[in-house]
Amino acid sequence: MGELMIHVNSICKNYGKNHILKGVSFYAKKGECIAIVGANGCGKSTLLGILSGSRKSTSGEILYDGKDAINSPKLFSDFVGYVPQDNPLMDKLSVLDNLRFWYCESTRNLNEDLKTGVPARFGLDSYKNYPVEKLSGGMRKRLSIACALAKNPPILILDEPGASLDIICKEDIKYYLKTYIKNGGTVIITSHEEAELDFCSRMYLLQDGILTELLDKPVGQKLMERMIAFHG
Amino acid sequence: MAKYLLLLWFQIKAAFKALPKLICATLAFAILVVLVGFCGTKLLSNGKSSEKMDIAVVLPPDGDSYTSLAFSFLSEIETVKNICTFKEMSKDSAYEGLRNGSIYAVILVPDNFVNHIIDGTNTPANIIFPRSGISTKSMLFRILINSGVTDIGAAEAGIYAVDDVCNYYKIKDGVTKSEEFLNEAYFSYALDRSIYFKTETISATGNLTIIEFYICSGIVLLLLLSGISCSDLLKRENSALSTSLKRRRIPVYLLFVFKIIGVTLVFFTMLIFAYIMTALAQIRFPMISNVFVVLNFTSFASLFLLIFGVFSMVLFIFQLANSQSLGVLLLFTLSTLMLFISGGIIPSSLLPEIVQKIGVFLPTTYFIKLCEEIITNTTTLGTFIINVGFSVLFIGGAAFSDNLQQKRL
Repeated sequence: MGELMIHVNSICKNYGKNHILKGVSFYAKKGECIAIVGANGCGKSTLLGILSGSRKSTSGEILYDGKDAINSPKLFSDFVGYVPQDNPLMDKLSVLDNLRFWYCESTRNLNEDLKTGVPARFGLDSYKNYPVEKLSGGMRKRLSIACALAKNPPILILDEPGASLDIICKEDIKYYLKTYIKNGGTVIITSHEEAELDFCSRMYLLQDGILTELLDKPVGQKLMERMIAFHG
Repeated sequence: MAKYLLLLWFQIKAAFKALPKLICATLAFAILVVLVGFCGTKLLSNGKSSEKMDIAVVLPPDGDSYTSLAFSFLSEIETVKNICTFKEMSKDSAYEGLRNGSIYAVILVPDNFVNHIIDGTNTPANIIFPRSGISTKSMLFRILINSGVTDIGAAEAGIYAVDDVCNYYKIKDGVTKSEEFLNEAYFSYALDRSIYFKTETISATGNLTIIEFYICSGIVLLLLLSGISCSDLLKRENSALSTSLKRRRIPVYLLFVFKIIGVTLVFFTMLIFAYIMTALAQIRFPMISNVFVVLNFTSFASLFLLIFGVFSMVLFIFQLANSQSLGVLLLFTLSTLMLFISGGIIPSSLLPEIVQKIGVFLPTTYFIKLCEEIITNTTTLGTFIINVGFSVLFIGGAAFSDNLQQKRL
């Protein structure tokens, strides 16, 4: 760990008179995993949307590897692989077609990746001709991650990746993320689950539009007490 | 560029994958549409054959063959045949028919009727109408008789006048020749009704026959209803996919255009297949050639536009509804309502004025118009542009609705 990969400075997001994010700032280094926790509706997905370039912030600055992403939006797709809460897949198409679509702008070779890359790692090669609508929730999530990593981005942003998945699938994804981080990737994850938070390097709490670092990385009961305490 | 082409190709592929399902659904809807069309055709051509008047002809008991021949000739004249059916019957049956209303009038033909016309005796035939409840049809028949009598009277007066002139100047050879000449002249001028009455067909269905009219509105209704079976392909995408496409700088309207092209190609292929089958069926069943039209290139292009336009509207409705089930419900209701207001079920000239005025603003009016122009090979630039305009409007509207929805999330 060393180089600064993400530097977020004073991000604000307003919907009319609602201030969803009030000057959010944080950083992440290469090979780090950052967890963002908070109650439902606190703005976690909005923050991740802004970090992935799918939403615009009202004000603030985002630097990826020292480059200003807000003023050059292409950086978002070059630097970030984004896995939203719902799977961004075309249900009527096969696994292979979905991968093809995401790989079409990549320098990576899909056929090789189906043998040795992320799709193979997630066992998608055996399902490549299946229509997505017939896949299980777990396989869909694996496919979404594989699609997000098609361009081999240095940053992976995941919005509650384990929601409504079985324990085997969660462990599989977690195991892969550890490998990704070990290889120098940076992960930003939002989650409500202890198992997904315990491998994070640092943890932030988003509440009332303000992001606060939780230095002791509390989970479970402790995290709940901190959230209640924050509300006073 | 590759990502756009790939996205287009995937939309076409997804649409063709659904082909078996779409064929089944389209056939089911086609049955419904044919039923609607059949009922409409019946409604518009209601009792056309019963509009003919039954006229009883009572010939003298020992009537001559000339009289029977004259009436059978008269009943075969086109203008008479379309209005009257002459029925030879006994006097009692004719009177009974007159009383119970099954007969509009009775013609009592005297002895030697035709011979008397030839020799100038002119024994009149009696025409008896019912005492009460004279209908419009009886009146029409009376007018027809009077005009016929006037014609014959004028012809006879002319012939007799020339006879008198010839006799006065003792030109005996001239009488026969003059009579022959005048007979021919009067028959060709005075008795040929087609010279007096120029035939012009004014129909509620405009320039189309009733069958053509219902083929047009049937195709539009079929396409609109088929939107229900395409709901999986045209429904709103999950917001995650829309967001991801946006990240890859693929505008949502382009996705909509590609989706519509996919579905349009499927239905275009189906209609072309049906067209080719009809063309081939002509060889086996020549009666089909009465309704079959050889389409030109412009008509094929317009057909593509028609399908594209209809599915643009379907996509817009699904985007607006924001849920597949609500979209299906909305599509069905709006399709039938709009088609009715546009005069696709009952011709608009038969609808109240206010409904006609609303119809001018509905896209279905222009879908039907384009369809009419396709099957008559008369596509106009104006209709083409209006249909393109509606497609742009619907796709723009759908993109706007998607944008609003994304902002709400």
